[in-house]
Order: sequence, then C-alpha cells, then structure tokens
Amino acid sequence: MSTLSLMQGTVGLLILRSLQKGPAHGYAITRWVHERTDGVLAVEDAALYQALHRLEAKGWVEAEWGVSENNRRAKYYGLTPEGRRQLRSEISSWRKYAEAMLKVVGETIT
Amino acid sequence: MRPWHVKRLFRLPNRTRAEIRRDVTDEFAFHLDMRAAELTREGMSPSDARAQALKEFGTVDSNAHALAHLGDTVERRRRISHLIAELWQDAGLGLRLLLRSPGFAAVAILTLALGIGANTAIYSVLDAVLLRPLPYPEPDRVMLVSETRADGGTNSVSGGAFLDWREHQRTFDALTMTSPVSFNLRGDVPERLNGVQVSHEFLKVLGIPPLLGRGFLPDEDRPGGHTSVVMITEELWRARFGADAGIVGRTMVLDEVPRTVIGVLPSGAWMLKDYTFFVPVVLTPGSDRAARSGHWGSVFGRIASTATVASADADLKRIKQQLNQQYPDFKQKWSVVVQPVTEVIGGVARAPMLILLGAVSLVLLIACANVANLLLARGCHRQQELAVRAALGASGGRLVRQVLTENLMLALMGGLAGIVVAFVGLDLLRRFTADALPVTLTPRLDLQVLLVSLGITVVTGPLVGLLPALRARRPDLSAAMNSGSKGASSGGRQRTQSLLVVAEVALTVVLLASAGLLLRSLAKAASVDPGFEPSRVLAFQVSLPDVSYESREKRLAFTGDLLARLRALPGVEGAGTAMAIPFIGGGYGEYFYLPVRTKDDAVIGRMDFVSPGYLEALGTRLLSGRRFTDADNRIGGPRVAVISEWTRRRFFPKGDAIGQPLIVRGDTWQVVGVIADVVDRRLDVPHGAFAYVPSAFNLSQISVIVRTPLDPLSLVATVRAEVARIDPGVAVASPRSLDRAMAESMTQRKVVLALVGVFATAALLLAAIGLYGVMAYAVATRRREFGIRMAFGAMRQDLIRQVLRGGLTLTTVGLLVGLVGAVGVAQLLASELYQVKGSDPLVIAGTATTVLAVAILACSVPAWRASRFHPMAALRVE
Repeated sequence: MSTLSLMQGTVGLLILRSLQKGPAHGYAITRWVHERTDGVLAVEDAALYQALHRLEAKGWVEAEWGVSENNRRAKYYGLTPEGRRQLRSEISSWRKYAEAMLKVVGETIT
Repeated sequence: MRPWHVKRLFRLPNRTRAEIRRDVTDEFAFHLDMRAAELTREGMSPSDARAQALKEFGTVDSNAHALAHLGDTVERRRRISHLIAELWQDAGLGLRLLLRSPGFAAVAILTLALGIGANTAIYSVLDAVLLRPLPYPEPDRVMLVSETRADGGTNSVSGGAFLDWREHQRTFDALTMTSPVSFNLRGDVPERLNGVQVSHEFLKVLGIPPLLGRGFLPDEDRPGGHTSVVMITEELWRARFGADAGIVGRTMVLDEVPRTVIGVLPSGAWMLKDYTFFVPVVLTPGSDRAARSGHWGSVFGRIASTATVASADADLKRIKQQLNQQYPDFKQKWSVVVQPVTEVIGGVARAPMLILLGAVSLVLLIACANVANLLLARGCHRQQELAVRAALGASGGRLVRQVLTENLMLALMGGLAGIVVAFVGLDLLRRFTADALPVTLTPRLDLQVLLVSLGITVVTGPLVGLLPALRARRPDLSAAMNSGSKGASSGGRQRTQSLLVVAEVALTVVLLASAGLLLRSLAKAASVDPGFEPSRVLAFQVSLPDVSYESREKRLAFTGDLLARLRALPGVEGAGTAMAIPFIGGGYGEYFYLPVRTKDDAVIGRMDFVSPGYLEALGTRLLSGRRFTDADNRIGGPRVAVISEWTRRRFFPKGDAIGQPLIVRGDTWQVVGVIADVVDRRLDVPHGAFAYVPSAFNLSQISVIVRTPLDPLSLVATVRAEVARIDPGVAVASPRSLDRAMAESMTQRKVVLALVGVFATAALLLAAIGLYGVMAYAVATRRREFGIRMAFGAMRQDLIRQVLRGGLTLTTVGLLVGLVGAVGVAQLLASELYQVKGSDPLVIAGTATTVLAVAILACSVPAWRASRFHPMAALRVE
C-alpha cells in the first residue's frame, strides 16, 4: 500500500514537472513521463490519467479543450499558480530526501 | 496552441454530467488514436498498433467511470469557488461604488439602521417576555395549577385541593403551594417586607439551588414541625444584611416571630418583582387553611420529564373526579387546569408585544421601500455601466447577482449600524418599561438576538435590491449607450418608484391610524369616571403581626385608634381603612346572590371590608340610603352592606335596594346604601358587582387612606410617627398617592402608545422623504418640458399646481389603501383598544389630514423648483 501511495506521489510530481514548460494534452504528458523515466516506472496510461485528474481536483492543474497539432479536439492541461508552488516545494523536498538517502546508502556501497 | 492566459478571461461554461462523461471518453479516444498513429508510424500494422495502444492504456471503461466521478467533484468545486470569487468581486465593487457617493450611502445606511435597529430592540424585548420569561432550568416543565369555577374561569387554589393533589398525583416531580404575605421586619426602623409563603417543595419546583444555605425540609412546613425558618432573596441579603456571608443560621424577627435564616436565593429566583423572603406555609389539618373551600393560594408544579401538560392535566382532573364521587354535593362543577407558566406570563404581554412587533416591522418595510427608491433613482446613473457589462457578455443573472451583492453590502452596513441603534434603543426601552410589566425582565442583546438581527439584515438586502436588480437584468442596451444620458427607460422606473411611494404612504397610514386608535383608547380610558376623587389621597398599608394582634378586637382597636389620631392631624380632611384600595387591589372575590335564587344564578363580585369614614374620605357618591357609622363597625355588629350601582341594577333592577337582603360569601347582608360604581384596579375594565361591609367582620389585611388638601406624600412622615406611637413594631408600607396609582394603572397603554407613536412618526418621516425624492426626481427629468412650457407662457402657479397634483395623487391612493388596511389592522389591535372602533371617524380624519399636510410639505419644494426653471437654461441642458 505504501509503495502505491509513494508511486502516486511520484507520478503526480512527474506530471507537474512535465507541465512546467507549458500546457500540454494528456497524450503528450504520458509520452513525456514514459520517455523521461525510460520505462522504469511501469505504469499504465490509465493510471497517469487518474493522477492527472486528481491533480485537477486538487486545483494544481487546470484543463481546457483546445486543438491539437494534428487538428483534433484535445484536452489541454496547464499548471495553476498553486500547482507551480506545489511543484517547487515537492522538488525541493525530493532533493532533500534524495540527498539524505544518498548520504546513508551511497557511503556504504562505495 | 493558443496562448494560455487568455483562458482566464473567457472561461468555459459550466459542464453538465453528460458533458463530463463525454469529455472523458473523448480524451481517452484521442489518446488511443494518437498512440496507435505513432506506433503505425514506427512500422506496426494498424490493427497491431491499436491493440498495443489499448494494452498500454489498461482497462478503459472502469477508468473512464472513475474519472467521470472525479470530474463531477471538480466541476462542483469549481462552480463554488467561481461563485465566491464573483461575490468577492461584486462586494468590492459595491463597496467602491458606495464610497464614491457617500451622501447616498449615508442616507441609505442610516435609514436601514433605524429599521433594523428598532426591529432588533423590539425583538430582544419579545425574546425576554415571550421566549424566555423564566430563569429556571427546563422552564417549560414549570406549570401553574389552578382550580376552575363552574363558569370555567381559573381561580385561586384551596389548601385542601393542594393537599389532595400532592398526595394523589402521579405526573409531577413536585408541587408547591404559594401565597403572598407581608411581614414587619424588626429593626431600628421597622420595615414591611413582601414575601411568599411556600410549601417545602418550592425550590424543587423552580429547579434552582440556593445561593447560600439550603431550601426547606419536609419537616419545616409540617404542622408542629420546626417552621420558624426563612429564606431571603439576594437583594434583601445585600440591602439589609450587607451581603454577610455568615447570614445562614442567624435570626431575623418577622411580625414578632424570630425565624432562622436557612438560605439565600439568587437574584430573580422568584418570577414576580418585589418579594424578598420566603417562609413555610403550614396547612394544619382541620384548619381553614387546609379546607377545600377557602381559595387563597397559587400552586406551581414541575411535571416529570416523562409527563406532558395534557397528561398532568388529566392526572389532576382524575383526582377531582374521585373526590366528586366522595363528596357529591361539594364543588361539583369545579375542576382543575394545568397551564405552562411561560404561557400564562407570556399571555399577559403577548398582545401588546405582537402589536409592537407588527408596528416595527412596518417601519422596516417603509425603510426598505425608501432605500429601494434611492437605489432606483441611482440606477439611472448606472444604466450605462450595466449596459456596457451586458454588451461585454455578462448574463442577466450575473448582473442581478452583482446588484444584489451590492445591496447586501449596503444592508450589512445598515445592520451593523442597526446594532448600535438597537443598543441605544434597548437602553431607553429598559428604562421606559421597567414599571410597565409585572415580571422581572432582562432584555439583552445576546447571540440569538444578534442572529435574528443578521437574519433581518440578510432579508433586507434583496428586499431593497430586488426591484433595482430586476431592472438591471435587461438594460436597454442601445438606448443607454446611444443617448449616454439619463432618461432612457425612466417611464418604467418612475412607475415603480410611484408604486413604492404609494406602498410607503399606505403602510404609514396603517401605523398612524393605529397610533390614533391607541391614543383615543387612552383618552377614553382616562376619561372614565373612577367613581371617587382620586386626587389628594394618600394610601398605605399596615400589617399587624398575628402574634400581638391575634384577635379581631385588638385589630379593630388598633384601626380605631389610628383613624382617630389621623383625623386629628392638621391637614387631614378624612381617613378610613379598607381591605381593597382602587388601583392597588386587594379584597375578596365572592359569590353574590339573592336568597330566593339558586347558587347557579350567582355572579362573582368583589367584597371589601371598610371602616366608617372610608367611603366618605375616598369621595364616593352616595346614590341612596346611607354609608357606615361607628355603630355599624363593632364586633358582633349588624350585617349591613353598601352596594355599588352595578350591583343594585343586577339584583334589584326594579327599585330601591335599601333594606333588601343580599347574600355575599354565604352570609346574608342587609343593604343600607347604594354608591356610584368605583373602579377596581383599572379604569378600562367594565364594572362588576361590589359590596362594602363593615371592617369589623374582617381585618386580616389593612389599607389606610387619608384625604388631604396638601401633597399626599408630604404626610408620610407624620403618618409613620402616628403609627409608631401606637405600636413601634408596625411598619407603614407602600405609601403612595391615589392619582399616581391611577396614572400607573395605564402605564402599559402609555408604553404601547408611545412606542407605536414613535414608529408612526418615523414612518411618516420616511414616507415624506420617499415622496420628496420621487417628486424631485420627476421634476428634474422633466426640466426641459417645464422650460418649454414656461417659454410658451405657462404660469408658475400652473406648474406648481401640476407638481402638487402629481404628488397628492400618489398620496391619496396610498391613503385610501392604507385606511382600508387600518380598519383591518384594528381587529389585531382589539385587545388594546377601548371603546374605539377601527373606523373611528376622528382617527380617520386626523390620519388623512396629517398625511396630506405632510405630503404637501414634501411636494412643495420640488413644485417650487419646477416653477423656477429658466426657460433658456432648461433648454440648454439637453
């Protein structure tokens, strides 16, 4: 259960991060996540959408229908100011967490 | 991709559930198509690509369902936050608009503050009188138990009935017998105190603990028990004993009997004012007090938590039924009734309170109409702004909401100021009504009252704003934007304003007519012939301790001595004693009947026991026969009676009553005189049967009157000295002048009249302002027309007359509607009216004259202004 919630938090962070450079539709977001993680995170696309909509419910992303690059109706997501703040704080806490982990784990391995 | 920030300005419209579901399906379909296309581009066959895309995606249906559900939540939340944001925006806008026209804001806020404040103040009194009159826990379980007579009226309770109930009842936690009593408290200066005799269950019924010490024990009202105990109130403890913490266990001497103080009751513990001590009531078997025939007490009970008023009532009626079988000849037609005390107390004050509430609500309505009018007039200046917003895409509903929010802001500020008004008003009310009500009242601005005030405020917002708001819904776009000035749809607005003024005038007329009717009632009541000369009479009471004045002989000797001394004083024209004094009360309620008739034909009247000289000193008018002499007033003297004219007409309608027998209180009395009817307690209560008999027959309560050409109260010191010379242990109690008592008997009338009068005046003022506003506005918008007419040679008088006619037409319509309403409202006032009909011509004429005069005054300024327009100036304006 804890791995799932960890995963969910991780996926959320990845999605927020994918929107940092600007709004994107759901397909672009899922591709970005898959590509950036090189398939390490083996998540179904549906799970990514769930996470995306949950972020919308939290008010961190906003959605709007627009027209895609191939002229199709697509739903675009963008960061809200709150989402931007959330992203910043999550990144910094991840960084602290990772540094702390490395301090402990990294030394014993090397 | 389109620029992201534009989205914020042109929001997506709200989505329905079906749309949310479709959006999810569309989004998934788009994803799958894109993925399949990409895989195809990478070399897969289209069908393999599709299958691969689906596999990567996971199960579509259940996910779509979950997302749609999530979407609903998002949508709901979005709508709410959107609404809040809009409200916030509107509130800010409203505030800025108000600040921009401070004059308008001040008038509107003050008007609303008056309306809301007055309502809050009256509500808080209502709250104190009707909603929480008893300071006891679970006050709705406290009951008043009364015996009822054959005619259905409630009656005091006999000691015997109380004992029956106490022994056999199954529905009460406790029942207590109470009866007021007056004792002389021994001290350097003896003081007469009012107290209550109570049975030992007293505090159990009230449900409150004593402040100090304890309540009575069963042994303390048992015949032969340790009955020489007393509880005192916090007031007496502070005033007389300096709040001595060691008071419990000390002794105080009441009517020569030393009693141990066992407890101190908190302030306001007893619901009636001016009672300061409590002693046990002792019902010795076989004595008069324990008999089922003499009625002298008030019984209160606390019903069990499982019982209801109805079940308690049935329980006691059952006991009476059993007694009826036991004693078939005794009080067969009597019964018993249980009533919640809150209802009994509230019942006394309910009618006047509801009248005040009605009056003050009308004032609020008028205030609202006035502010609505102001808003309408201001609306014309905002027409352009609203039109622009509508042109930019604001919906009608959105504009209505904006205007309503602004008005709510106005109402909230009015409400805040109203609380200040209520604070001041309540203080005045408290001072004003302190003596008007029989019970201790503590009106206060508590949370509940403030919540009600907030409620009034919130209702007021739409009330003042709805008309202007609806008008804002469909601004006439082209007209407003093209002309760019006022007067676009002024026809419709003016009609609305006129209607509001008519309504204001009508409501004002209702209030004025009500005040008029109350005034006429007071005048009629005040002009009732009291049947005696109330001016220059001093009245006071003396109570003789049972211990030293155990016999009637001793009491008669005391009163004889006292009267002789008083009559000998310089400046005393006459003196006498009685049991009952007009406007102050006392005396016995008894059956009156003729020897030949059966008891069923009896009427209940008042019986008073008076000394020779009393009827003369009071200034009663002898119609036939004689009044009492010293020969009548002796122990064992003749049973002679002087009756009132009403009594003579009732029992001896054909002729002379002198020498005829009349049965009162079971004894046969020979009528020796007839006097003009004397009022009992209030001028506005019809006369009933009244019989005066010599005081030698009953001296249990003694009131004294002294007639003097001087200021009656200037005699008090001399009188005290004379009483002390006979017996220093006897106090002179509640000295007052009778004309003062007469005036006080009408306090409630005066308070109601004064308040309704104040409200009516406020209403008149508001209506006049409303009328002035509408006329001034009409004149201003027709400036051009007036100018042209002047240019064509119209006379100034013509213009003045035209404007006045316009204003008076509105007023007359309102007046007629209002008068019809007033006649209807008079029905509701019935309980406070005295010998005045709703259609009283004097009141109608007075109301009409006042309203018309004020209307002419209000219209005269705009009319005068209309006649001063310079033709050229008026033409140049446009």
